[in-house]
Amino acid sequence: MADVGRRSFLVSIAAWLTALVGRRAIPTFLPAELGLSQAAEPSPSASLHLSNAQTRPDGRMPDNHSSMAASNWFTDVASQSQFAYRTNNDFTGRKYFPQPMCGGVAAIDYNNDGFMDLFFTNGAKLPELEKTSPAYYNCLLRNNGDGTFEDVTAKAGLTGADLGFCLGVAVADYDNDGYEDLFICSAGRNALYHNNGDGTFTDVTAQSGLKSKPENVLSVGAAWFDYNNDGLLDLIVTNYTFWTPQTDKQCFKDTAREEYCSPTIYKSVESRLYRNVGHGRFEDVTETSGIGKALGKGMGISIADFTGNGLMDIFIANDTEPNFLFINQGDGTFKESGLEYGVAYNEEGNAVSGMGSDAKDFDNDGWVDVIYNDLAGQFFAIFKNEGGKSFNEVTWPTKLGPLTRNLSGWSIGFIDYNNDGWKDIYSANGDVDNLAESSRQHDTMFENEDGKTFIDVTEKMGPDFAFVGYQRGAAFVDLNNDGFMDLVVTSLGQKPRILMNNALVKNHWIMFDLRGRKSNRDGIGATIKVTTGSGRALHNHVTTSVGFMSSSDRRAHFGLGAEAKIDHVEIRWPSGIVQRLEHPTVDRIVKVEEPT
Amino acid sequence: MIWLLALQLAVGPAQHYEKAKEDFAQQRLSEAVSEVDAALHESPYMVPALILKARLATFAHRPDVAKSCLITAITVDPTSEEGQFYLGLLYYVQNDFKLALSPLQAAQTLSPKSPLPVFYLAMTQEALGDEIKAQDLYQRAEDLSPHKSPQSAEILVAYGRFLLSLGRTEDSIEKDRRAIEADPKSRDAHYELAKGLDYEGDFNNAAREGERALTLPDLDTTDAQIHFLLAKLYRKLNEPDLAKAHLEKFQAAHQTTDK
Repeated sequence: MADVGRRSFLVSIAAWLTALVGRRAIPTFLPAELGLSQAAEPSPSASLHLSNAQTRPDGRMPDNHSSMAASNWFTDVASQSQFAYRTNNDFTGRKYFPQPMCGGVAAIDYNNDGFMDLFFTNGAKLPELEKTSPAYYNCLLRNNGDGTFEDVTAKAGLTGADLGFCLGVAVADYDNDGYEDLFICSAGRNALYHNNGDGTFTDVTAQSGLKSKPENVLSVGAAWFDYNNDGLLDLIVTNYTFWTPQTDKQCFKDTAREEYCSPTIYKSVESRLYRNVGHGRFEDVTETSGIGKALGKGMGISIADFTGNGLMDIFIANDTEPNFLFINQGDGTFKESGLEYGVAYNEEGNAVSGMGSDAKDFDNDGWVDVIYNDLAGQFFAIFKNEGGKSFNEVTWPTKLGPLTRNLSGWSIGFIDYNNDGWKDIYSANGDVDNLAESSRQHDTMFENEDGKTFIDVTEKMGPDFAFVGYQRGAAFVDLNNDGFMDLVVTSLGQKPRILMNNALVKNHWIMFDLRGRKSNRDGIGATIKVTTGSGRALHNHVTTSVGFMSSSDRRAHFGLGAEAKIDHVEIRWPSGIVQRLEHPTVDRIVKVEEPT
Repeated sequence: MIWLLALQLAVGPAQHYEKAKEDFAQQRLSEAVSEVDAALHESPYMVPALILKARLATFAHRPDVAKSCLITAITVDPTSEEGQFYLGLLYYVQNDFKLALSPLQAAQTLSPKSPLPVFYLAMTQEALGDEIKAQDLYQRAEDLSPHKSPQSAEILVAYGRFLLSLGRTEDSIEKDRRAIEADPKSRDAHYELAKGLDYEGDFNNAAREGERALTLPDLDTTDAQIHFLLAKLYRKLNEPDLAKAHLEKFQAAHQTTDK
C-alpha cells in the first residue's frame, strides 16, 4: 500500500540533475505558483480419531487429485465444487483505499469432523459500505473430505450481510467450549461469531465487549493468543487508519489515471488489545497494556514467544511505518521494542510497506524468527532471532533479497511444503494497483536449503500455483490430512484457489492437534520440539495467525524428511506444564491432551 | 517606446531558452519556467526548450507534463539523445520499466560513448529481473565512464550494490573500493563498502567505513542510514554504548510515530 521505493537502487536523480547544473543543491519540488499547469502544456498530438468413512487407515483421503498433476506440487481443486464466492472489492473504476485489501481466508474445522473447512471474507458495495447483494457475502465452505467443498454460509449464519467491507479473519475457540469461533475485521464494525456447535454461528459482538474500536477505524488483521497465560484466549487487532468512503482521498498518477493513494497521507492509529475475562466477554486493555502507545498502520500479525520466557509476544508489520515488536512484560503490559530488537526497519534503516508476516523457526535453532513481505523494489525481509535478545536481518545472506526484488507480497508464511523438515517460504503476490505491466503477479515458493539459504522453486509448483493475478489472503492447511500442507489463496475478482499438495516425495511427517486443559483449549502458544531418531531437533508452535488477513491450520506440522522415527517430543504448554511424548508414530495426526 | 517594443520583439525563442537555461542553472526556477514557457509560446516544437520544461516539470512533481514534453520532443526530433534519455529516465523513476527500455536504447544508440543511457539501462534490466543483461550493461557503463570521477564512482557503487544483491559480496566490495578510489569523498561508496564488510563479518573495518561515511557530504545515503548500520555493527562488536548512541542518533534523524 505504498509508493514503490526504488531509492536504494537509484543513483539519486536529484543528485544527478544537480550534477548537470553544477552540483548545487536543488529543491526537489517547485512551488505551485510555477504554473506548470496542463493548460500551459503544448499538446503533443491426518487424525487418530477421524470419523469420515472415506478416510484411509493412515488418515489420508483418497488420492483423487494426485493423478491430475503428477509432476506439479499443487493442483487447484476449487473447480470441483459448486460455490459462488468470488473476492469482490467492488472495483468499478473509482479507487477506494481499502479495495486492494480484500479476501481474508481462514482454516476452521467448524463442525469438528476432523477436516478443516474454509472461510472467506469479502468486500462491500462502495461508497455504501454495505453488502448490498450476495456477491459481497462472506463464505463458509464445508470440507466434504473427498476433495470437494459445500457452501454452507447461509445455513451457518455467516453471510455477514449486516457487515461492511470485511478484511481479516481470526479463528480460535475463545470460550473453550470445543468449537472454533470466528472474529472478522472490517471497515465498518468488527464481528465476533460464536460457534453454536450445531453448524451455526451467532454474532455475539454486542455482548462480548469487542465493539469498542474507535469509530471509523479500518481494522485489517487479528490474532488470538493468551498473553497472560490464564487459559483464556485474548485478541489483538491491527488497525490501519481512520477511513470512511466519505473521507476517502482520491489520487492520480497523471491526469488520466487514478491510483490508490499512498498510505502516508492517512493518519496512523493504534492496534487494540482485548483481554478475555471469561464468560464470553472481553475488556479493552489497549491503553493499560501499553499497546496503545504505538501508532502505526497495522497489517500482518505474528504471535510467538520471541524471548523464550514462556510469554507470547506480538510482531506487527506496518505499512510505511516502522514495524512493532511488542515484548510481553509478564505483568499485563507490553513494551514496543522493534527498534531495540532490530525488526522495526529494513537494513537500510527504512520503514517499508510491511504487508503480511510470519514468525517461525526457519533454521531450527530453537528460536522463533520473523519474516515480512512488502512491495516491489523494497525486498522482503527475514530476521534471525539471536537467542531471544535481538534479531539480525539475514535477507541477503539467505539470498532471499534478490528473489523478491520485483514482488509485491501480501500473505506470507513459513510452510514446509515438501516435509523435509525445513520451513520454506510462500508468498501471495500482486501489486496494490493495476497500472503497471508487472502489477499482476504469481505466487512464489522459496525452498529452504538447510536453514541457510533460499532458492526459488516456484516453477516446480505447477501452473495452478503460478496463476497470475492480484493474490491477497492465504491460509496454510492440511485439507486432506495427508500430512502435506495445502494452500488456499484469494485473488481480487477471482474464485479462490484451493491448492492441494500433491505430495511428490515420500518424506515423513507428524502433526499435533493439541487440546489444552489448564491452558487455552486450542493450545495456542504451546511450543513443540521434535527430536528425531537421528537427534535432529525441529521446532514449531501453535498459532493460527499467519500471513495477511488470514488464519491457518491450528495443528502444528512437522516435516521429518526421510526419518521414520521420532525419539521424543517435548511440549511446553502456555500453562508452563512441560509434556514429553516418547517415540510417537510418524505419518499421523497426533491428538495430545494437556496433562493436569 | 517604439525602440522598447522593437527590443522585445528581437528577443526570440532562442534567447528565452538561453535565459531559461541560465535561470535553471542558478536555481531561479520560477523564472526558468516563465522563460521556457515564453520560448515554447513562440516556438512550440523547440526541442531543447521542451526538454528543459520536462526537467522543470519533474522537479514540480508533474510527470504528466514532463512526459508530454518529452514525447513531443522525440516526435519532433527522434535523434534527440537528450530527449530519448530523459523519457527513459522518466519511465524508470515511475517504475514503468518496460516502457523505459526503448527510449534508453535509442539514447544509447544515438550516443554510444555516453555511460548514462547504458547505466540506466542496466538499472532498468535489474529492475526487470534480467540479471544477466543487467550485469553486462553495468560492466559497459563502467567501461564507458571516465576514470576517477564522481560519475564513475556512482556507477561503481550501483554496480556493487547490484552484485551484493546477487550475494556476490567479494565482487561488490571490489567495486566499492574502486568507487572510493574514483571519488574518495563518495559517502555512498564508503557506506556500501561498510555493508559489504558487514556481510563478510569484518565488523571492525565495516564500522570504520561507516564512521568515515558519516564525515562525508550527504547526497544519497542519509545520516540515519549510516547511524542505523553503525548501531548494528557496534552491537556485533559488543560495544553497547556506541550501539546505543548511534541508535539514538538514528532515532533523532528519523521521524517517529509514537503517540
